Amino acid sequence: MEKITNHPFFVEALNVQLGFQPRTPLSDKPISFQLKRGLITGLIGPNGAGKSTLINALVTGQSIIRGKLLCYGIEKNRVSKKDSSNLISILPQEPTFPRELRVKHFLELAFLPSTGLLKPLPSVESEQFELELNTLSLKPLLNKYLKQLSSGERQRVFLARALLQKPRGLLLDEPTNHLDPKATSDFWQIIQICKNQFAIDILVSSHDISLLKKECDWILAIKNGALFFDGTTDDFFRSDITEKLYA
Amino acid sequence: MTELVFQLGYGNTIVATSQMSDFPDEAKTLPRIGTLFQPSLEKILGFAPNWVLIDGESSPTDFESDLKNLNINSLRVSIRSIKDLFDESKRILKTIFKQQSFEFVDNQLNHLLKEIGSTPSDFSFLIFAWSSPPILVGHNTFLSDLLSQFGGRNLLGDKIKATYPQVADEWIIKHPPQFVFVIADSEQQLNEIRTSSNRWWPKDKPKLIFLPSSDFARTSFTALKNLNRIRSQIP
Amino acid sequence: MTFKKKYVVFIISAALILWALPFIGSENLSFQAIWKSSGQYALDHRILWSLRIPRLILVLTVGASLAVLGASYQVVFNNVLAEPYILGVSSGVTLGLVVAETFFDLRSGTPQNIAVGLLFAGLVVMLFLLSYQWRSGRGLEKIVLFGMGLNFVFSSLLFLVLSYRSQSLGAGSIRWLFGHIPWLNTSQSLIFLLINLTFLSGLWAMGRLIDGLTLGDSVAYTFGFSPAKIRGLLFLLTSLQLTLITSITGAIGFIGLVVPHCVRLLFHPGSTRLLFIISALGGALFLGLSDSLSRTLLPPLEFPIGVITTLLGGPLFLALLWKK
Repeated sequence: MEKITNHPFFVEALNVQLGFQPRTPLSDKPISFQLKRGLITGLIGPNGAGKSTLINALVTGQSIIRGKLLCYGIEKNRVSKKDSSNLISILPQEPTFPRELRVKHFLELAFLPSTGLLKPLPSVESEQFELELNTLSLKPLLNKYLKQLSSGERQRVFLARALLQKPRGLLLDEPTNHLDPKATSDFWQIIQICKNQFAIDILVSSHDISLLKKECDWILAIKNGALFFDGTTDDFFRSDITEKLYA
Repeated sequence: MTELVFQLGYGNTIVATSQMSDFPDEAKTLPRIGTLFQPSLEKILGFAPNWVLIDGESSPTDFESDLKNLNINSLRVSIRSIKDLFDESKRILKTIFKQQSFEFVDNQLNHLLKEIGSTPSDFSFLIFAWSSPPILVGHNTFLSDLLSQFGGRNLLGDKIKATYPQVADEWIIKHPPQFVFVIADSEQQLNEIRTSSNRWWPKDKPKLIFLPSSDFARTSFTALKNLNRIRSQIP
Repeated sequence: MTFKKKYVVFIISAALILWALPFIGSENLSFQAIWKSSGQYALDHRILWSLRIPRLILVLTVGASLAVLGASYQVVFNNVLAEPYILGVSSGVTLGLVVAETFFDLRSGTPQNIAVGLLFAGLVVMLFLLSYQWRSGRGLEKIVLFGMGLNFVFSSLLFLVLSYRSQSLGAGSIRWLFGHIPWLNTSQSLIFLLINLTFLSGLWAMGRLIDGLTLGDSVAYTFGFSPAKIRGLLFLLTSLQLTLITSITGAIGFIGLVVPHCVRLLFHPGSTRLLFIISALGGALFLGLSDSLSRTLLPPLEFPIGVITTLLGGPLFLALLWKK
């Protein structure tokens, strides 16, 4: 884990070609980039460009036809089961959740990978939950059922679950798609706090250009399965790249 | 029933029968008009019969009215006891074949009375049609009635109206009969009942009597022909 | 009522009912038959100890197992209509059983006869399944459809075979379609209990992994789980267990569907493991009561148990939905 903590890059792509069938990559142009630590990187691109494929590849290690996709210097299939949950966690695009679960039981699931087979999961009251519960103001919601929450509240709960894994990096796949403007800006405020509070590296995929402009430090743009832009937010929004991207 | 009509001497008047009417041998070549449960009106019409004989237990209840609409006479026959066998046979002979005397039927009756003897014995029995799950033959059937003529008492009793009830093991254990009749196709089924019988009544050991279904399962005079098989095994 | 109280009430009533069950049946047994075995008590004693107790063990085991199997499928498929027969395994077993009886004269009677001949049927179906798309989360829908298809095919083949046979032989096949509790002796039923307990503990142990699956495949990957392997192992274990159960008792419907659902509506268990435990208890009770009812509705008749579970399960389920 030491090697991981000190690795200079969050995500690295080394001549990666993504695709679902071994002989048909999404693009002929291999993708290469290096995401620095301590930043919020925005992943942007038209639908079907390959954003979700990239995130999926990062998480599962599948759909990589050529090249290497590294997380803190390691490929997914080389990560030990034990270290997996502390490496990255994900807030997926359409999170699924057990219907009848209460918030507190849902959050305890974050400790599934780190709890032994015969030991009980840590209770929500214990120390390990304090920081995340307070940062995300979840204490009043603990006894409620997930289905009773508003989408904004639920999104905070899902985020808390991801953070409770105590990961180094966080992937957010279109986290504010279903949220109203207020919930969206609240959510991004929390992301910023998390970045500082928990010192994690964040990769966000989104369509919300104005928000990405405001919140992200770095932009990664994908079009037709190939890398379209890889640079600072300022550089991205200075040019007319946005139009070209969605053309 | 096809067999019954043959036994009454009118087999040559049958133009068609239901599926599975394989007795006597001559019946095997008769054309079919569907199953007992689902006879085909179309096919029946095709044969333009004067009369249709309907099995009381299995055929659909609205069958007669359907036939009436087609201007075909029908007679529903239901044989649940020995008495039924004789009464219904006479009814068939009288209604369809316009017979006034019933020599054959009366002879059969005399034959039966002779077999039974003047002092019928008294014994308890159960008739098994299947062993697992245990399916018994009820009181309200031809076979059960036939055995009662010999002085037998179906332990299943007349409170139970079902003809082939599935019965709980524990009741069977508590009601050991003197005789166990097994109505089955093969010796193998007989052996299964024998094994089960030893399990239900390890102490009582009732006598097992095999009634092959080819001889006893059909409601016709065939069963009466084979009465000596029963007679010889009962005290 | 708070949940802790609900659990307590449930467990106490369960214990009481379980205690009473051996005394319910088509015959009234005298109380002293529990310990006296001679003279007038001989038959009653025998019925109680050699028939009812092993039967109860069998029934409770099957009830618990079917409920847990149903619960596991409902969670993994994320579908409240999922139940153990959804994959077509047991209709394959039933078909195999009927074919064995019809064409190979392998009759029922001893469980050994059956189990051997039919592990085959279950395994064949399983192979079908395992070769299919259980790997991805999206493949789950396809599996359900595939299972439905298998069920249709096997059912029609089954009815074809049944109508081919003469009417007298048809009787035995009812036991496979509607369920039948055979008379196992005490050691046989204990072995059956042990085997199923092993399977159930395996499922219990997998409970945490299944919890991980409920968060979604991508989250499960970040936990270091392999969703494909978890699902594959689950289907393997459950299919094996279901094949074993079906080859002894035939298909008993409704428990796997209704019991876990009722458990979730009433108790909202916080984890899959808890769901399994309460479902096991609920399923055991449900089938135990159904079995007693099958023998007391119209004594000495014994109704096929699958008929009773449907009769009880349907209205019970509707009543619960109504309340919510």
